[in-house]
Amino acid sequence: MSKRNILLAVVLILSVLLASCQAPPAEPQVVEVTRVVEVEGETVIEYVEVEEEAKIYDGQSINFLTIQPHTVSSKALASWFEEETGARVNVLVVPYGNVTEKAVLDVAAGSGEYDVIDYWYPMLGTMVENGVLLDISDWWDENYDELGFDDFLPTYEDLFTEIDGKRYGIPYDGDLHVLYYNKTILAEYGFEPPTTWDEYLEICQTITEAGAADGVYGCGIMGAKVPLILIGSFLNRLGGYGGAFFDETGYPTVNSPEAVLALEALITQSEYALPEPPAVAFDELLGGWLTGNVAMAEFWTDLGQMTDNPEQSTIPGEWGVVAMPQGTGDNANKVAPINAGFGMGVSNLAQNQEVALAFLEFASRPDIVVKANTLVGGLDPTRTSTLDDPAYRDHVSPELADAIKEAHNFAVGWPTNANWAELQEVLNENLSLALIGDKTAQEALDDTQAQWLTILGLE
Amino acid sequence: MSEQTLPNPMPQGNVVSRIMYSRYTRLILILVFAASVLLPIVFMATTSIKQPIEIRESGAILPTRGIFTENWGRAFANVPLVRYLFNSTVVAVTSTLLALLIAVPATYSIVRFRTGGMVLPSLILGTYVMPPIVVSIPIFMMTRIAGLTDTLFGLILLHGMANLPVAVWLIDSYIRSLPVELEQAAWVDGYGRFETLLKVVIPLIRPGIVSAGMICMILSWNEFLFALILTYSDVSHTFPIGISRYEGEHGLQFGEMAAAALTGIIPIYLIVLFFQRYLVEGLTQGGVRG
Amino acid sequence: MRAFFEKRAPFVMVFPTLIVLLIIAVVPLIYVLRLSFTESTLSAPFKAFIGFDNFARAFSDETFGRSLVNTLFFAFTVTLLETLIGFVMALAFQSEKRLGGVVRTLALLPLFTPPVAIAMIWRLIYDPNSGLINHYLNNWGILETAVGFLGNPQLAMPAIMLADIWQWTPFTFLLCLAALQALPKSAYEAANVDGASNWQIFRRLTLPLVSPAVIVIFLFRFLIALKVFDLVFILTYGGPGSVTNVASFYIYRVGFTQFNTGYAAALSILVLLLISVVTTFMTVGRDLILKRLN
Repeated sequence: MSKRNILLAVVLILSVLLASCQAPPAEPQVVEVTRVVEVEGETVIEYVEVEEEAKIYDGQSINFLTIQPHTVSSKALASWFEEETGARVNVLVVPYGNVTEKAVLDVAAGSGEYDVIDYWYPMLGTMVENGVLLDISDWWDENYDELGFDDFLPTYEDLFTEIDGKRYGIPYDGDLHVLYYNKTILAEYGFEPPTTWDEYLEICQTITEAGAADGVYGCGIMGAKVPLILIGSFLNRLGGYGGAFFDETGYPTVNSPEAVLALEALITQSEYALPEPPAVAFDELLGGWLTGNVAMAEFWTDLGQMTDNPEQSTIPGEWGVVAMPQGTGDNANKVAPINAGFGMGVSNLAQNQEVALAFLEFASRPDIVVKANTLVGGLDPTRTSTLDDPAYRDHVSPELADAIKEAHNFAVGWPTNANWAELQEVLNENLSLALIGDKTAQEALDDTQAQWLTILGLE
Repeated sequence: MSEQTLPNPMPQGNVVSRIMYSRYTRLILILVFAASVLLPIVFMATTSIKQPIEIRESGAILPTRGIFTENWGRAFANVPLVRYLFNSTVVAVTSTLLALLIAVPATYSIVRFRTGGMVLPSLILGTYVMPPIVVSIPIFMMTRIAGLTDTLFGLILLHGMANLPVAVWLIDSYIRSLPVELEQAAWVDGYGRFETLLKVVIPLIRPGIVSAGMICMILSWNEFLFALILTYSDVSHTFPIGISRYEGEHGLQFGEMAAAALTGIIPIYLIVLFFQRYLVEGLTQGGVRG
Repeated sequence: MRAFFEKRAPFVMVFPTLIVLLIIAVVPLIYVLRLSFTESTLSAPFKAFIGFDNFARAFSDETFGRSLVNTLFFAFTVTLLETLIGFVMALAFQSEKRLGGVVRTLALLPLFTPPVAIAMIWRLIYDPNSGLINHYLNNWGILETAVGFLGNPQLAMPAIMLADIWQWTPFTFLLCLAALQALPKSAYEAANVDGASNWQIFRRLTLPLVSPAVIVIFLFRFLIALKVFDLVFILTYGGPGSVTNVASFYIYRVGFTQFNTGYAAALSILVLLLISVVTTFMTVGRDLILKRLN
């Protein structure tokens, strides 16, 4: 090696080392600027008047673990909170799929990096079992009246927060499935939106058989092998046929006749759905729906706004929404599956518990909730009053607000027990195998039931 | 390899060799190769200037609804990409230097002096066999005990150590192909073992070191799992983490993600271009001329 | 002082490596071994010693069995194809000076693209309704209806393999090229003087000389391929059915979404053993091949 080369190498190493040593302190922890938020409508939002110098948590800070899709709303909350209390909230963002592992790993290793944690509610039991979340039952009771917790949608109130009679968080982002339909396509074929899965199948089959050559399909079904997605699609039907994962005593009933009917319906419908259901996740379904090539889609309540955005959609204003269809048979039922939803809790290792709880309090205040629910890219309502709030109704369209309100009359949630993380893997695997024809519906659900019994120790 | 040592350009022998060694076959091969490598990248580039709806609507390579540059602005506005690129560059370059610094003498010692016998080489190999998922938990604990979570330094150490087996493996065959006589001559001339390594061996295996370094750098640049587990904030998030942050609640921002990915390719590409010059230089000056 | 180091030079040279191995291999391995014999969750490791229960469970775990088969099938196929293509391309490039240099630099692009972005772009390519492949096949009249590559049990694995081959062939190519260029020139000069044909030079000279390096490249790439994770995670999540469920993905699900670290550890140990056996066979195979070539 020549001297020049050695010199070059040394300079390079030194500069890099220097850069790596100096860089971190040079910038504050979080440098992103939050998008400014418009809140409109007639609501007058009253802020608690706090004097400049007397902010209660000046100089304090907490860390808030949130998921990427909540970045906008979590950062908005953080900046509103800082404005009011003086406490700095560092929003630490991780991808959707990694939030549980980050939270559990943090506690397992005793790091205590996070004070407030944003969690997917079916993992609540797992989080509690792993000691991630602080028992905030006392706090809950103390604030119940003042903060109007009875205003939380009853379907979310316990489901998102309670394990074995103890409270671990507040509902943060609600969401359930409704059935969207493309008004233009349905009108073209002279169909009304379906009220039963049989009608759904008929509509789907008719449209697909006529339209598939032009790329138009009667329905889109998300069957990708991700628990959130595939189990969601299954639950939409399971509930409709009157089945459930467990009976009242907690014994698994995943291979009940209703469940088999539901899965068979899913498989039959898939034959006519936007190809290929086993690989259709959010993006694939959105691709079909937003381009006007799918007549019916089960989706979360944010789809309406997405569809009305001309940058993202070719069919603004052409959508309608109804509740999930019912099944057939004696136990047929109307349901609205809560296929996603998030709570917000305090870490067991929170370094600043006081401020963390104050942040929870802040985030559950009715005025703040409305503000967060009317952000673009914001959260979905967790409070009954929000659904009647003019600002919110204006934001999402009154039609959708009413559909959500109605759906809550028969909403069903996912299990949240500590075993669910393991149970859902088994179910997910078997559903996917049934969807591609490796197993029949009966076999897949029998196998699931058998493995669930083993896992639950109920053999 | 210099010109006069190229294989004889006149096709001779059987049909297979005639086809294999025809210049045209070669050119076609190279062009097909280049086209298939470039197609997805070009598609990514055009995706970055398509409207979100167009990405969902059509698989045509070129945008049909006009050019939409907002993806680029949003890609930078929504995620602190520059910061992440800086972090990634620091981690990739420094961890590679660390890996090489440890690997070169070790490989030399293993090959030339049979240090560690059969055990050491297979242990090093074994290290690399372990799926990272397996060791992530104890690694996380150790990093935490050392107080190095959420620091670039921690990530540098970890990537450097994790890529050590790669470096050893790749350098191994280069040292093996060196005639031992060269070193013996150096010893006779009164060189010590360290001096021999530094002044005789290293210059000769420079192509090997550079290509091993490039591979280590690429592996570090793309590493996701440890970067995800060991970092919390923008201070130490790396580029692959940044790329994974273009997800909406239900669906990805493909256009923004494509813009971000392209942005990230550029700096590492410059680094490699820089080293490529050394690679070529090393090949022409080096070489064993017995 | 200097004499002291000089005398122990071989040891001094490997010493830092030993420390590194201790940190990233020995300690974690002991930890994982201990875990595998216990009932453990992430937050409560070593709850109870349960002997070989985790291993027994693994042997009756169908999903795990399938994931092992998938992993080996995947790794072997892509490694074989990538090494082959990489080697042929390296041969072709070796004597193309100018054009070769440009294309060679371009060929590195897939390696610098983060796997997350690669998977994203392949998702767009494979999409049945708005994907690149379907778009052009439909436009050219080759296909009548949309083909869902990732949702089709027969096509999902090949689709992932193709993306992997795209991503990693530059890797084998680059290494093969470096190996070819490191060959001693004196031998070629002698052969040229003797007037040997190109095929003879290739068969008698290049192949035997370069094959040890190529086999190392094959083995090395094989080891990386066994760890395939990102593409599966983003493209198919192991589906449809269990067609693309690979071992590292399955272990991830057990360890990091179910937090059953005891069982995940046992699975890891089994994977480790299997890989060691396979690698040993391959090393033996390498020696046999080398013997035949010479």
